[in-house]
Amino acid sequence: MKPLALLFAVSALSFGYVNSNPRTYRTDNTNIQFLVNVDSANVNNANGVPWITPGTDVLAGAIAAMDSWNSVTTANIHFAIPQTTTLLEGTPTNNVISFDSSSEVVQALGSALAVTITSYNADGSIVKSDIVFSTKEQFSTTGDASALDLQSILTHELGHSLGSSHSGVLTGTMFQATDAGLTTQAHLKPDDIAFASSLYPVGNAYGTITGTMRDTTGKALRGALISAEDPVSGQIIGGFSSIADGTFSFSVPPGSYYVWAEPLNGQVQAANVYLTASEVDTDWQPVIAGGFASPSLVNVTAGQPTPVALSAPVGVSPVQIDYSGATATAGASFEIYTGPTSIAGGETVFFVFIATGLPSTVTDANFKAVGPFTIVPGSFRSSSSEGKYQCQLSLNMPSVSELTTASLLIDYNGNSAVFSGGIEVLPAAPSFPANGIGNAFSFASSAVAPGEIAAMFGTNMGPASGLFGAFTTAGYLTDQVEGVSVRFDGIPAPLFYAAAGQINVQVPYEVAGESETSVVVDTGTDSVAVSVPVSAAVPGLYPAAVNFANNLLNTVANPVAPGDYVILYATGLGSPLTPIDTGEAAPGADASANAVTVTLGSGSQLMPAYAGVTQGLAGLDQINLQIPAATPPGETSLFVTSANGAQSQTISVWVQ
Amino acid sequence: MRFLTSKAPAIAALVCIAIPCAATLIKEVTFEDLVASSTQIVSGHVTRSWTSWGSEHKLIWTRYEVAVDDVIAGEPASTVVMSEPGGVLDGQGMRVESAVRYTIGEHVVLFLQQYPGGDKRTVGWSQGKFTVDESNRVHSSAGAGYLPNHLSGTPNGTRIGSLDGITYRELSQRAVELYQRRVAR
Repeated sequence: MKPLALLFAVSALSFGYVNSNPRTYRTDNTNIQFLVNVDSANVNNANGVPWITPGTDVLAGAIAAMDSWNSVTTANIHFAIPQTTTLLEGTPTNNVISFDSSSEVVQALGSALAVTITSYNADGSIVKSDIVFSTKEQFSTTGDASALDLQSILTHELGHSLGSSHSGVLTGTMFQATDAGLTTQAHLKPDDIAFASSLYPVGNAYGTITGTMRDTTGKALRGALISAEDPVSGQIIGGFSSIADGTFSFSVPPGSYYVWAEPLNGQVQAANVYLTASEVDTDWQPVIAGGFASPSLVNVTAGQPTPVALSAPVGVSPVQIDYSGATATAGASFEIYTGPTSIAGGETVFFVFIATGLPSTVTDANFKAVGPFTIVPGSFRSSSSEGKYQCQLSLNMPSVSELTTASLLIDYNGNSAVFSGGIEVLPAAPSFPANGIGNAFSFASSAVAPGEIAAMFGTNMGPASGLFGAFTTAGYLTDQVEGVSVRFDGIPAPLFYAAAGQINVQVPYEVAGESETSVVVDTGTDSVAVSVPVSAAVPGLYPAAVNFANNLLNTVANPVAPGDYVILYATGLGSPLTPIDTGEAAPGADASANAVTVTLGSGSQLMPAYAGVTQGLAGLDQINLQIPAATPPGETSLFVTSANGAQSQTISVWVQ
Repeated sequence: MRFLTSKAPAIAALVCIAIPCAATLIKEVTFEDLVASSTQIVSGHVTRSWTSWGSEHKLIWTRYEVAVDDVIAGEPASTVVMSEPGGVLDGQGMRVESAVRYTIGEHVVLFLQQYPGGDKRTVGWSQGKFTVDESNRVHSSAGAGYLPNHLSGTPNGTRIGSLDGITYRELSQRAVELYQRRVAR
């Protein structure tokens, strides 16, 4: 028998994201292999209700959830493409995702929607994690409003499998709450990214916020929830003070932040972050560095600790927000929740909340907006009802290109409350037409091919200023750029570029064999799904060839010698003979499974020396072509035809 | 809604209060749900704990023994043992986020649910655990808030957080009343 103190002695250190002793972490973080028991999901529960809704793709949901973590470029994390299994739990080292109705697992689940059961060694290194979904609920990957979003829940649980505890940031993926139809937890927030970047860092990109949480008498305050929020972008990251001595230290990206603290007696309580009430101090009021009237900005630089002084008033604040919701339409019916409130950007909304301690004598001047929104002057209303106040505040929400968070701070008569990361601003729905997706080189939009680099044209599809995707340290192109993702049949697609009007994306190899694929752009708000035909190959050529002899573009001033080779860069040749993962930088040369011919000039058919993937890149193909010695000098045209009859556009080559 | 002044827009004729699922994604329950799902409601002090494997040897469980001071509802007992997933055994650690934690000596009120194998857990994870302070007031860790019924578009129960700070006597009376009503049905 182990003594209790050893079992549950929580680290004396403060924690941002990993609240355990020892701190749990993965050693296989660059190649985490999960097995998914898909068959276990295709069963009805005791009430005859299927555990998943029609059309739900458990494997695709798992891939998408893993991809969210894989796309954190400041962290060394890579979940491998999950394999299927018939196991319900892993072997001593396998990680398994399943729907398990065995009695011991049902007992462990209780009323939970899903649990992550993590086994670890004495040093905290994780041996394995099994994720089990409740067999009392119904899950979906199709956006069913009455079911729980499988991808969101799995993204949360995978965070646990990486070692993360629950977050105190209401809008975080690692926050403890969700509900049917909610999908925003599928998107990692700065708080979640900070966890990944802190535990599995790439370089030294983050700084730390440090200090000791105290009240005005100098007493150290244990278990304080401390938030750092960029008041311009609304990015918010949370940490906790030590349950031993009130010290705190947590990682944030370089930037300028408001920093505040709140006790765990509001919407986040000790039990929500695996603590007991006796381990935390709650007899104090929220406090912000610099004071509520004029908060001071805390500037954080990479690799450096930034000390912050926080001294909280003694005594529990009588001000508290219990529930909130929002609508843009007067007289509309809407729901209010504990936890975050989602608001569409680009509108002025009525933010309605049930609170304590906010009578009608409060004005909007008692509120402070932190993040990209403003309070409409004179808009506060309050009315008492059964010991509570129903309150209303009008908020101007900006249009945003990605899911954005914001906070509301309240200071009234020396009493304060904070709604930390409690507002999420949703971007307008992206849209694109069926003919708005095509080969990135030829712009042909008749069909897409597996592995092809496709260009998509539409509206509200990403940030106003375009941003490029990046390869992770594991050699995969990320599937998210600034919160933007694209799914083909639910499979996330690697992104080369994302902007409001254009996205460049690699079509997943998984669409091979389909006649059409359903494409969705997700910026935090999903587009309407658009069906696009699929073809084995849809070749498109980069408009200029490269001379092999000097590795320069073939031009009128740099013609190729007859008998020499040119390289035609292409995309859309289809799957290679040896499968590679979607988004994976091709590890070596490998010919396309679809043979191609090149038609030169007046019609001579040529077989290229090589036609297949380009080593070190994703989605890019190349065709190595020898120009016949008898080719006359000057400009000649060529195009490519794949085995399925699909032709590229015509480009020019200059010959000496 | 009647709280609005005449200056306010005619907003929100009906506000539906949605009780979210909380997590390791755990569903939130009302006090009425809590009593309805309990097979036994007791108060007492946590005396000891140990770990052991579960009946199917899939999970490590931490067992907490509570010396019962008062059986509010259900079978009489002098001690009860709760089981929570996770713990350390045979050099192996196992963690399940949000598992309910107890400290030795803690004075608690427990709404217990018995599983087929005989193990007992609190209903709704930490929602089924209240602590009792020195002035005999109970404290919940389930979250703050109280939802006046008439503000809701749909019938609902009492949020557990609204019971924070009431006396042990009041809590037990409310639990007994609900439990007896359930048994009578």
